[in-house]
Amino acid sequence: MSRASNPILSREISHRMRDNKTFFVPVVYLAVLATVTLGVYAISNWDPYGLPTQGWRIGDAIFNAVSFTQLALVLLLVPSVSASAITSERDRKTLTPLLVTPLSRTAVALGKLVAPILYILLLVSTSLPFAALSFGFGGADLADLGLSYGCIAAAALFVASFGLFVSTIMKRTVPAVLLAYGLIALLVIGSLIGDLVLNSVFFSGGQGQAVLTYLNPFLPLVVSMIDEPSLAKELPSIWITPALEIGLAAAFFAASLARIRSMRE
Amino acid sequence: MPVDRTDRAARGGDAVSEREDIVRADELCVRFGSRTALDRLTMRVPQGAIIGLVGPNGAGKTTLLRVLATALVPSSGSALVAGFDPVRRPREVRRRVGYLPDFMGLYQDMRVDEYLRFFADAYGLDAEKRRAYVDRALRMTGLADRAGSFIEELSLGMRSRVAFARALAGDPELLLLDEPLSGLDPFARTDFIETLRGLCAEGKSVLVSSHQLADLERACDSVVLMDRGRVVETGQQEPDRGALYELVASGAGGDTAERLRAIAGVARAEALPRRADAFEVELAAGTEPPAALRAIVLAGADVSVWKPRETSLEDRLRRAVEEEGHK
Repeated sequence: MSRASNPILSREISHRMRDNKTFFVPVVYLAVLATVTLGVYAISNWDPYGLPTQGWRIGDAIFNAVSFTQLALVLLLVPSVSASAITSERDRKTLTPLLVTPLSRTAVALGKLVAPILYILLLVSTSLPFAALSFGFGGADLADLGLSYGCIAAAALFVASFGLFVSTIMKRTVPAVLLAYGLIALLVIGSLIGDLVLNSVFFSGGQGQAVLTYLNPFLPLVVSMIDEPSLAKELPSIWITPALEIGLAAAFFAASLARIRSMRE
Repeated sequence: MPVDRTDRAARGGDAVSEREDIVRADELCVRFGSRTALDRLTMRVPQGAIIGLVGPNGAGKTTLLRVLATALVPSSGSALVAGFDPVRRPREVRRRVGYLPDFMGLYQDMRVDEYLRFFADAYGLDAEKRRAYVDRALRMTGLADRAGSFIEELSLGMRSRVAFARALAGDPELLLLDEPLSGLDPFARTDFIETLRGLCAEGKSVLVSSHQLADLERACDSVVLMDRGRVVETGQQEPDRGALYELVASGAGGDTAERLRAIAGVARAEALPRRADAFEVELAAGTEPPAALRAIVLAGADVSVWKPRETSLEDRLRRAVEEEGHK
């Protein structure tokens, strides 16, 4: 959808680019990634006997650290943007003038969903030089890069869609953002605890099963880190989590659209 | 007496075609929990007229405008706005209506012209129509020299004008304006009234609510007085009422107002504030003023002043609300 055909998207983008935080957030984002990269480089390069470390090990460590940090940052940033999409319009009393125009509710929902995702893609794209470091050292290839960025994009889409849904059911911005962060905590920590509980109750005698952990956005990155052929059959598929995220994103977007369609003000 | 061209329309139930009425509301009810905001309200707004909505706080004016603007679904009853049902065909209504709510709802971080372009896009105007709308709206609202200013930099009155300019996007057939005069200085209010009259001359219809009664009297072809969710009076002239006179008299003895009320041809007599011997006298419908005066003099009153008294909109509103309260 072009900016011209969706005034909401156009407005959201220009609003975001005009905001002081627009430049502050990427600076902090890149500073965190730089700090992590330097720290991982220093740790990977350190050997108690002073022997040189293999370059690919450094590259692999940097790539994994950058991927994990980026996903964590995206999960921290997206809810604050998406969960306020509709509630902030309510807070500023700008929702009614918008809803009494003939603009389609689908355009409103799409504009509100796509704008934060574009912003996140902009942020993620600024991290490419860090990921490219691992190509210099070796240890990661384009397929790894594609997988990592694909997982981040799927997680961002899911969280943005959930945030949009929350913003359509809540009246105020702060509770909406808190609820969206609650979901992130549930996915990242709750899924692990949930599986521990499930395994202790249902699979105490045998091998544990990952059920809820498939909802954990970090799972594909963890699985892709494990480079041990003997474990290949026991590891969960890296595609299940992104597929679940995309499916849930579609469901939450549909629910958000239904909510926005029924909205009068 | 001049014929009030809108009088018939605001009453409801008259045999007027749907094409003539831009708004037809029948038995509209809106309830918020146990509170009834609109109580079986029926009214008509003819095309090309400026109709004022007047009433005390909580009368239902804002609720009515919200229903007509598709911002609120009524609990029961029906309405047609520009020929379309706001509940079943809201997008058709939105294409034809410009709504200014009782708050501005502006994006403070946008420039004035940018804001208007945004709403032009929301109405799906092509580039040429968008440019024409923005230029015209800026000119009409006197904001042409502030087109590049951020909205947050504008004064309250100027922001009101931006909100009004927004309501003109889409070249609406009907403008629903909720308290558009608040925040405007007297000169701006006069300009605003002229703008409304200009729009009316182009064939647009306006339904406007305001507590600025004197301005409404100047602006509107007709007024609808509302109280407790109902229309209590309509039209430019007070219907079924006799002439109103100011009387200064002494010597009638006892409770003068009471004695005046007992005279044939006098429908109502009330003491005016601050003067013990001054009264407002309303004649019974059909009573000739000289005959009433003769009867008052014959009753023993020493009349020093007898002059027609103009009914202000405020008087009418107060009386209508009092009468409604007694029902």
